[in-house]
Amino acid sequence: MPFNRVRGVVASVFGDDLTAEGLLRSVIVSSPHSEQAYESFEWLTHIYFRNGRYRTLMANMEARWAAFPKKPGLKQEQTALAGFRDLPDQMASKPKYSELRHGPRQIFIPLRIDSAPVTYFFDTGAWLNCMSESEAKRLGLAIREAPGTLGTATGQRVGFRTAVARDVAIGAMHFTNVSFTVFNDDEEPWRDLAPGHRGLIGIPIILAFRTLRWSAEGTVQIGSKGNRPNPVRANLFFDDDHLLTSARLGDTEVRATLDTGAKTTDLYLPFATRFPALVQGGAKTSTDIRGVGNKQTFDSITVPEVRFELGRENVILKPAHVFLKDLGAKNCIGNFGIDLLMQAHAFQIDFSAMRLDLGAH
Amino acid sequence: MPARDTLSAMRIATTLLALLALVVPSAFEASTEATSLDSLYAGRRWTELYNAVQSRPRRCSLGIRR
Repeated sequence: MPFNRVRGVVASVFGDDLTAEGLLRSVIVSSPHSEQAYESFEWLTHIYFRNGRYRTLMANMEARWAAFPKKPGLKQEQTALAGFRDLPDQMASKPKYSELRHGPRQIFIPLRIDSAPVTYFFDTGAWLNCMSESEAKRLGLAIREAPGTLGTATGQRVGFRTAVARDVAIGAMHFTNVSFTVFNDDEEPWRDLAPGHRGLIGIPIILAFRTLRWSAEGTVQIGSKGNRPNPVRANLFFDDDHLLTSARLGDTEVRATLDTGAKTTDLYLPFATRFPALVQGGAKTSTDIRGVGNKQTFDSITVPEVRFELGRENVILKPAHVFLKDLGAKNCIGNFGIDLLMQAHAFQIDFSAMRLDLGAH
Repeated sequence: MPARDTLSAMRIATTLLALLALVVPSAFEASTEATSLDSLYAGRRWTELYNAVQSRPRRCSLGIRR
């Protein structure tokens, strides 16, 4: 394994995108048709995707397709990514501290899109900003048909359209060329939300905050100076197009995706495989998973209680739903939702230190 | 002179052995290290991979920065 590639991968996983980009590009330049170059293109794509740099992402993929024209899956990649063609690179101002208000046990925060006020929720499980069609029209955004499809929390792929906002203001921070994917109003989760609330800000914006601290007292603080990077203490990781967190179940370390947009936590088949004693005796049932644009029902086992140590706090899933299908990211036992995070008085996501902390730390 | 030839041959053999002792372990270590990095990478054991990268000579270390 060429050392620059592994260094680039490590930098990417721990959110040091600038270093990662330089190292991965150096692998491509030094051996442009190697397997290492092919994989470096892949890691670069993950970096550009999570930062909303769609123009650069497409240029990166075009370069990979040109360098590896015979790779299997090329056509599928081209089809899947066609919707991102011609989307701009999002630009973000430097992180600036702001304190925003939210309703009781809510994650909706105020922002302005091309000067119009809206209240959208922040979703660390969304790799794209999203809104409903009526919302895009209300804001006067041009809606573009996009030929591709997107993967969702249920494992289904759904069609989408796109709209680009010139300016998004959140507290003291400004973003330009912000792309949103646009879904029908009658789809999950928009149909249960009032106009002006039918949207979410995803990782491309949240990442630029550098820090986000939600408190039960009704505040969301963004843009604070993060703690010093220290991968040995990190409990957050960027892995493919997922934000993962590590937690403890007894003496065992487990990984799960961190998804503030999920109302409830779901555990998947790998949990049942790793902890059969905990699942034994649970009640067989079926449970819904709602993803953007669709809802699916899966066989599951309901377990009375599962306890985790997460972000230095003890949290309890009561009951816990264990799906008998692996719907999650690689090596993950489940998807940790906002129900776990809100068991603490506050939680903080720090993308400098790559730390999730619960409570008043 | 057979004795001298033998001595020379022994010297050459000793030198070769010494060279092998220098080369083989480092090649072995490099190979083990590559395997270890590959295995950590395949297992997506990111913290251990970071530690493995950091344990390399300083010129190769990774300075995580913002």
